[in-house]
Amino acid sequence: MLAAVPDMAFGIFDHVDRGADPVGTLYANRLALVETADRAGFRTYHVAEHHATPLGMAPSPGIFLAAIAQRTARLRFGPLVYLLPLYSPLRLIEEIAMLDQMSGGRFELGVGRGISPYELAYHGVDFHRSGKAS
Amino acid sequence: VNGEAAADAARRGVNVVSTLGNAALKPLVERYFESWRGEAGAVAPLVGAQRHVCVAETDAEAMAIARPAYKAWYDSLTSLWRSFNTVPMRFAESLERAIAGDAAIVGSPETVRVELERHLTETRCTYFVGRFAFGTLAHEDASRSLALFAREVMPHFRTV
Repeated sequence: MLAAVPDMAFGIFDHVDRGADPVGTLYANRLALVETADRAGFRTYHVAEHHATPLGMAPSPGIFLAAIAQRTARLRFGPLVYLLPLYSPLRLIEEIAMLDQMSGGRFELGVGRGISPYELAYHGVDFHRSGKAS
Repeated sequence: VNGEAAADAARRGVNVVSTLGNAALKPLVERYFESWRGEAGAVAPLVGAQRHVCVAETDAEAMAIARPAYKAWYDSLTSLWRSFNTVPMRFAESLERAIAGDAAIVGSPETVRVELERHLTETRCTYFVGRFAFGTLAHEDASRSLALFAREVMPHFRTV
């Protein structure tokens, strides 16, 4: 161990951005990579949420995370982040509870407002009014 | 992201991750831990740095496979913004600039190990988050990169 830094935890962040492969292959490859990370001792897998952009081909992160819950044993996982302005609070709470139960408590919640006004606008949400829940 | 947001996160006891470069991130990490008041026995929170990572057998090979993949990722990052005739702030448009700005760590296992230690020493982060799959990076290259990182780099930052 290097003396200058304490014990570290290691994670993975993934945009699931569009590459050269068809989208189905992209999903399959990413899920295989997550299985490798599970075996390799990473602590957490974080998936982004983006909309209407090749930056994020997993715009429903809960669906992608459900697959991960079934294909991993130790790895914690979660969104980084759920874009809260786009969700019904109760609907999101129910999804989180499902994912946590499906994974034996490995779900790790990440929430935020998002950084792109354009992505929120596609959902009819005004970015500049999205800071507070009504 | 600012100091008050870091302090607020610490008071709430939530983990945080940032893509900021080392110099900008360091004061936020310091502010976080100044504000964190964990009770006795509390698990220390994770305060993380997030970086693109590509590991290969040699520095030259890692740069050769990561450079076009990073460019493809950056094009995807900016795609929607460019549709509205603007560009998002502060993201490096090339791998070389990303490395220079502490946004990417690329090279042989030895190079990545040394560079990661520099990032962690300079920021005092307790969590490191890598982006191992990005852009047009082939699945086989991403898998090998992740495996090399886990086998050759991670053990140097753990006591057990």
